Amino acid sequence: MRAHSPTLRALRVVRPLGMLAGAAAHAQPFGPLQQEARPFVRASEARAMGDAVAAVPDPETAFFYNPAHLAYLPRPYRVTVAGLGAGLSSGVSDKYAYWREELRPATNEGLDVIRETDYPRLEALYHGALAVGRRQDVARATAYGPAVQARLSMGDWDGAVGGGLFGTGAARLRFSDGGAGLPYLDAYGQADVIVPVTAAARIPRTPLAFGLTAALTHRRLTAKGALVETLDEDRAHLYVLSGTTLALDAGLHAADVLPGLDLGGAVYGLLGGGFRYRYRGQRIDLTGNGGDDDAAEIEALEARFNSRRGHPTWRLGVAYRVPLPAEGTPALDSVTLAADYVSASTSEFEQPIEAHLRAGIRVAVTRVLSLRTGIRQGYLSFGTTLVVPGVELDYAYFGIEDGRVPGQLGRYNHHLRLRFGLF
Amino acid sequence: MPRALRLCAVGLVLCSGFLVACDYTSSADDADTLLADARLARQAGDLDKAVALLEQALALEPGHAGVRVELASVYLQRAEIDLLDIDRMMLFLAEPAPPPVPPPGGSGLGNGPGGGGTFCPLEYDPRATPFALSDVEGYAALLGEEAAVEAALALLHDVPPGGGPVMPEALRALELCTAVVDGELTYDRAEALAALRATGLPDVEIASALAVNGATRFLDSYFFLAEELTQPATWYRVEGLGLGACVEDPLALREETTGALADFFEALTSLDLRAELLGGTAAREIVDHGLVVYEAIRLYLGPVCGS
Repeated sequence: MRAHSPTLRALRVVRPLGMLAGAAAHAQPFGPLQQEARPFVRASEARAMGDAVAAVPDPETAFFYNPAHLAYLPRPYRVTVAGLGAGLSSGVSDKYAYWREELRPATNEGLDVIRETDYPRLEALYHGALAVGRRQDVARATAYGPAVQARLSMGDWDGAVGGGLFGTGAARLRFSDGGAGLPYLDAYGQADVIVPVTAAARIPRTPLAFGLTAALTHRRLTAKGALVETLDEDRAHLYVLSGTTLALDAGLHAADVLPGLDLGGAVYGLLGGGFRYRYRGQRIDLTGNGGDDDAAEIEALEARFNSRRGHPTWRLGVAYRVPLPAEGTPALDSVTLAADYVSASTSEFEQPIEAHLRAGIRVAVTRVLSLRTGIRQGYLSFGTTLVVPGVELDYAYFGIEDGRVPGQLGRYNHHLRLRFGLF
Repeated sequence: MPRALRLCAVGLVLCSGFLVACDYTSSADDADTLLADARLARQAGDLDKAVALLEQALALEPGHAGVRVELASVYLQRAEIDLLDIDRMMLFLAEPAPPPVPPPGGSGLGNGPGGGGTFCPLEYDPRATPFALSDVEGYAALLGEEAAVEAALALLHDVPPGGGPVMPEALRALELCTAVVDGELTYDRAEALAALRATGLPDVEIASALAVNGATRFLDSYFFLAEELTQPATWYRVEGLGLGACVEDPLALREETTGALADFFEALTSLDLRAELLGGTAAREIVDHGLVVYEAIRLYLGPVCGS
């Protein structure tokens, strides 16, 4: 085997990573919970670690963050039987209480009736909407179906394949001032069923690994944008649109470019990924009063959801495995520092460079317990993973920027995940 | 480990330098970005910052309709004035007169003092009950924010260099005597909407602009009638007729209030066009109440019409 200087090795690795990034150089950033956003299941591990994971191989991040990570599967196979995850941003409970206790009963009774009979209640209703809802809040739920990852070897090539079934849904709600103090309701919901299949391999005699993920996604989404005063108890429906897409992601990882230093990168939606949404007769009746479909609203929704198409996005990362002394740290298994640049915006705005930076630390205390912390867009994150035979429990607390620049409109979130399987 | 720490330190320094360098890229230097940032500041509840950003945007691009509408809207929000205040004031004006109270001694005269030395039939009408425009709930607070109302109005109506006002002339009555016919506002809706759309504003922002214009025009005319008349006036609720006013010189009152009546009419057309744009019953009902009030005060204010 030829020996390589660290510099040469670094150059050989950086070049393909740069080409990978170049493939997505024209990427248009898009925010989460947008109709064109790429389908993926957010990993608790990534959230807790400030979302800096591109160069930190982990089976958890192989399907949706960097397919090349699967090449480093630490055991012959890994199986998830089932699991559930739920996440809430910190204002969701207030918004839900407002909807359940005030807005929904008022819409049922009829805002025009309340205006005639109980004006102070109408004022309180409108002021409450703006006070409780001016910031966006998000609730998210994820169902983990069966997923399998298994190592494979063919000649000099070592790698792994995997596939799984995931369901994830999220809802966003906020109220803005629709003019002269009247609240404007902006609600959005999205549910994805995703079947990813990933294959990854290490390239013999190089520090490189690559991977590909093909993911079939069926997405349903709905939205409501209306002044509260125009909500009609007989027509308060959420119309559900749906579409299906097949997308291809690609990833690269390079280990020990310099001693302890790894690089990673991935391009999402390299091929495919576009949805064509249609209304297929499904709707959610918010008040239970029935009523006819609103053809104009449905047409407007189809136009809105089909007006923008997703484009490839990408991430590049670097990680450093802190060398631990062979003796003297029995409580520490590994310590990894990482930083990523993520091209996608986390809001509906184009964000400046600092909003795309991520940094994090992972400390594997033992094989049972991991601690993570990080900074994402200037917001602190932390979390932990506890693994006992057959069960894995994760918690993550993290912040996201919903505005244009970090610090403008931050949103903190909690996420809890429980899964069963062989991890 | 020391080597690792050195690497970490170098990384941190590089990251810090990178972030500092990036600060330049995040500074907003165009009106659209400042507008976006102002909206975000509003969402975060920082209205003063939103105003500062919008005023900066307006200085950069005085003809930017979106900035003008947003700033007018924030002025009202900061002054805690909303369309519900207007609705409440309209409902106050449209309140029915209380049942007639027989005067002590059964003289048959009206139950309120007149506005001057001349004869006013309402003073002696048992169906008429005097009231003051300032009796409406929250009036003092609203009047205290008159400057915000004026500032918002100026944003929507001033003509910026090289551009036109946000609010079109089509919302104003060409002739007050024929402004309302058979209970309908007579103005060119299509022309008004086309002019608003020509500003480049999306319908949601047009609706917002119309709400702000309706609220501020109404308050402006209300403040004028309540505070700025040159002769003392006594207002009456008259059972079966609506509203009435007693003054020393009714013709001078008509002349003096023509502008305020035109403003009131524009408030109604703004809210009417907004209701047209949005649909829904609540938006329409504010207009319907306003029309009742308009027709009631029209008997006493503005130009004398008809034969």
